Amino acid sequence: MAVLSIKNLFIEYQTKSGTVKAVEDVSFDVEENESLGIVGESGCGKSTLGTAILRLLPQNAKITGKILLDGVNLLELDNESMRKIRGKDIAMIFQDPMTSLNPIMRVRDHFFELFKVHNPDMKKNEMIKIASEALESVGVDSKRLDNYPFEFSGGMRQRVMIALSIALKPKVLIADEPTTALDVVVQEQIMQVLKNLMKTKNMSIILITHDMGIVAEMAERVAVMYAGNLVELGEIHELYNNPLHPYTRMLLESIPNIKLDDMDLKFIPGSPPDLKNPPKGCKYYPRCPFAKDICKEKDPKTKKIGNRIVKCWLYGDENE
Amino acid sequence: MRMNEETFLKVEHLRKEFDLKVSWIKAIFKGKKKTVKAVDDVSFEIKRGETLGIVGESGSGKTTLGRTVIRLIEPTSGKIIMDNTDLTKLKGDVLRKARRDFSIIFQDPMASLNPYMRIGKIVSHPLEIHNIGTKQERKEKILSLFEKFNLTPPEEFYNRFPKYLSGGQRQRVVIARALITNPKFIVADEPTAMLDVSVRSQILKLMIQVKEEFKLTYLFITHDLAGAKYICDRIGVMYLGRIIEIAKKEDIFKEPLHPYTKILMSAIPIPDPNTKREKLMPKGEIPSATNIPKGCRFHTRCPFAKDICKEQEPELRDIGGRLVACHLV
Repeated sequence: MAVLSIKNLFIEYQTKSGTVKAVEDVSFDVEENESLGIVGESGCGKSTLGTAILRLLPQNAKITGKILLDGVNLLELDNESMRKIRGKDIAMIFQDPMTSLNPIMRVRDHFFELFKVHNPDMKKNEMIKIASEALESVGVDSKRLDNYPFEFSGGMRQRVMIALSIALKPKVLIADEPTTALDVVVQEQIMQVLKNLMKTKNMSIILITHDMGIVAEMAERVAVMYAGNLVELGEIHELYNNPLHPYTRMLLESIPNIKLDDMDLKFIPGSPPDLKNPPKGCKYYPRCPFAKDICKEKDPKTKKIGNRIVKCWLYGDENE
Repeated sequence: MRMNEETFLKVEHLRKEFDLKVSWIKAIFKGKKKTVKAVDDVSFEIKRGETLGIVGESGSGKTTLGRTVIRLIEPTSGKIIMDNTDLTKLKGDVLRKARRDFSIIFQDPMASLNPYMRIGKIVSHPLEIHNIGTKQERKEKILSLFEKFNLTPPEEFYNRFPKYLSGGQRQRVVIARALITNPKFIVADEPTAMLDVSVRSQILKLMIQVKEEFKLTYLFITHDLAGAKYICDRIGVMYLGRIIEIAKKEDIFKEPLHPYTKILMSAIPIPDPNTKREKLMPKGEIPSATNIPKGCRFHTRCPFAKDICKEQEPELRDIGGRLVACHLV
């Protein structure tokens, strides 16, 4: 059963120089205990989407559609009820562990603050117990509860962030580029921590990243986003072995793979469109080598092919 | 000093130490100055037309090494011999004149372009400093370079400010600026780290293309091993200020010898869900460069460390044509 269900989500930012269509008609489900990857270039709307689920977008963002958590539409909740959901039912890990912890609070106070929002009557020794367990589960010594964030390295800070986010056993964990600010070796250590949590805790993970390598190692299903649109979604092996959308194909071809001897690196010519003034028709057609006449005229509908979702005129009937 | 015909750059026993600021109380009572050994006795050679990659974690000293080699940072000791000239001996005007022969591409194209200068001015700056050509000649040279770099229409880019350019375009401007004086040697310090996946390969391709045309030699600093595999001929792996393995890229990717190199290789995510690998993990995290472990500097994290590793620092030894600093190989 789907824990989280996103239905026809549109997000626009009102700016002085015009309206930015950051997310356009995106729908997908997150199943129980599943890890779903969301990939795409910078500016494709993947972080906006993740942040919208927690309703943490800035004031100038306009959201329409539905975000259903166990059948409840989060977009209709008042602020107080939404606060009860953040950190408890849905939690988030941010990209930069340097800026996401408060530098003048001890680690344990970060935990206490979180616990007090959700249960004001919780006893101190109980809070310390839960916080210690959470820290130990990500490989940080519970003695370090008394330390300040600056006493940790980047990798350790990210572990603390993960411990904070899983302390109240959320149903859904959103990880927004959790390893981008980290080195390869530390990145590998953090991915091991997340994999371990996926095995032991009853939790779904939404992994937002631009790194197709990380997705290949972590996710069970992948959603590919381009210019605010969900262009393809499918099971990880199917999608990597046989990408349907031309964008997915080129994205996969443009990553160097150290296991392959073929050293011909491909790249996607051009750059993503300006979302204030996107092209008519399919957003990808200016860069697409397979573009047909219809691609310039009409935006393709999202089609279901087997277990796969794809938004491209190469599939299905043009006269629909 | 005589050099092999082929050798373009020879770095010998290069060191760079930074003094840490210590409060006066500590200075009086502990009486000890703390130094960061960012580059700690590094030697290597680069052949003419070759690309040497330097890989390693943050804090391994790779950026300091790159900057010291072209004297953006003064070395503490050691020799840097480029085309039979020892760069460490050059001073003042002589050094400034020599600078047209080497250049650097920085990591962050947003930070390395002056936001108040037009692109044309930014790229012509090195020409003005070295007094090359007339105003008209400079402009023509820049426009033809823009044309080649796909910054079209060149006339329009010439008059634009950096903020109107995308990340990939900015990095192409940075490369154009580095090449405008026809240098022989380029240090590229993580030139693709700030760029998107699809743009990353564009920049790597451009760097390979201009290398042929301008007959360049590269020192390519990166933590992206997959990118390094694409562009480099040889790769040196740095750990805590020292090169611990250096070899042809085929060798290093096929069979890494040093345990740290093995760990680095196994940490790279493979964009193929069908690949399942045994992962090798180091213990803990990289120690501080103010307090480099005794013996082998990697022994505190090495999964294979033996007693000798704690006592004796291994030297770089020749093992079948490649250099490795490890007691166990």
